Amino acid sequence: MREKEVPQVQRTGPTRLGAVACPSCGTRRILAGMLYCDQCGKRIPDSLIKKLEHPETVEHMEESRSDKVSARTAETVSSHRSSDGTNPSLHVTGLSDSTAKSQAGTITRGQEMQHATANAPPSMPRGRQRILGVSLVAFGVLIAVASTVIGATSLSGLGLASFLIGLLLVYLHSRPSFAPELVEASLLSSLGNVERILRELGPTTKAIYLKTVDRLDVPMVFLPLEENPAPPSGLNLSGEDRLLVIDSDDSHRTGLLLEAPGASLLALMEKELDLNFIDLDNEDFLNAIRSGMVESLEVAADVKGAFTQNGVNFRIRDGPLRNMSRSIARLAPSVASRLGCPICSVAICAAVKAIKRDLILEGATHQSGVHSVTLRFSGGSTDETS
Amino acid sequence: MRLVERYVLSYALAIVVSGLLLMVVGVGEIEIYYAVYLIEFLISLELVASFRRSFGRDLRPIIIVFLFGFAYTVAQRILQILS
Repeated sequence: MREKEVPQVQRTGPTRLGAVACPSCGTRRILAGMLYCDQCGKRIPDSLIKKLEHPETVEHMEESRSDKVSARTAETVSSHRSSDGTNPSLHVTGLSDSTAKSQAGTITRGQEMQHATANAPPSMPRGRQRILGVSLVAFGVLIAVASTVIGATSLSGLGLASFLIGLLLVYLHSRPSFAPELVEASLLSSLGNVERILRELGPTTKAIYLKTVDRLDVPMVFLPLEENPAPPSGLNLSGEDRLLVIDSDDSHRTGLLLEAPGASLLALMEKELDLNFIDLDNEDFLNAIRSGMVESLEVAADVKGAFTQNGVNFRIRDGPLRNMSRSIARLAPSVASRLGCPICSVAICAAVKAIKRDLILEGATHQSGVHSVTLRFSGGSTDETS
Repeated sequence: MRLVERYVLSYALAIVVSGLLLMVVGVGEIEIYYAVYLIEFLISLELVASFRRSFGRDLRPIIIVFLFGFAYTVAQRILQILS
């Protein structure tokens, strides 16, 4: 396959000068030379790419397209699927600010296609699941009736099996589930706001995940506003309930106090696993994180954690929410690299609860569908790198 | 494969295999099939629910339907014995 590098495009705001609307999401952010929409991640049709290379044709095309976009977007959302595996939607990196340390710069077309096919999880579309369920119920009833008519009672056992499987499929189909695209869309605006706060205040310090002392404590993350090369081992900010903590006596205690991005996900994970990470010891919590993130929440395909001399490292392979992770890394790079995206943050929050120590986030990167998180015990040395 | 899909697939496999085994053994009563399927359902559900408690709660209506069916078969058998 032909390798073609995507040119770097500077983000200028919600819309860009000379941009046209994406056929999938309708956002006017498509520029000449782009292969994928950086808003929705969908592949830009070849016809549009060609037309963008000839700007005179674009204006006519835009007028007729704008009416269709809203209807198509609504259709996409309503026909949401349980997994994005059938939709090789990919994003082009390098479209955001230069502060996006986690981005590799550019992704070639060949790499993207490889990524799309390699990570597509096998999953049955919901429409087909319903048809299969109804068919199995009908088949089961038919078998049961037939076995009664011909007097073969043992056959009705298989009919009953078919009926029960069908019933289960139909019932599970009726349960609501949401497409990863919806999760992504509902999250990005909030994280975008946090990103703007971080940019405005411009702290360059490393975030400190604060230890929880009570089972019901919400994991918090503290971002000192002043350079703090050797933070104290215990910040003791448990009594604070402010966003901006200012302590004139101690500059270490001046900064932003935020709820960790993964705090709610951790609470859900604990509820699903029926445990509290504060009760686990250092060895058990790594297995619990894996069970919780991979099996319970299904937000990751694999989680590997390891203790080092000075802290903990995590390596999280993306699951169904890989597009969300990429979007966060691209659109909210400061949040992703300095606070951790929600998926990284879940693992960090769990670690903080289990280890019962403040942890400094040395770095969080997201590349090629893998999150790498490096944590250091507060008060330890700083020779750990990701 | 998602957890729910794995659950449905493993349960389907389990009841088809056990149904065929019961057929081979020559079991003729539908109540026995039903009881075996119910036990397999509850076991597999418990295995999955250890990862996801909400799944057990979601399937509670199905469990109730299953148990009503089981109660019906038990009641029928009692009546049969009494008569």
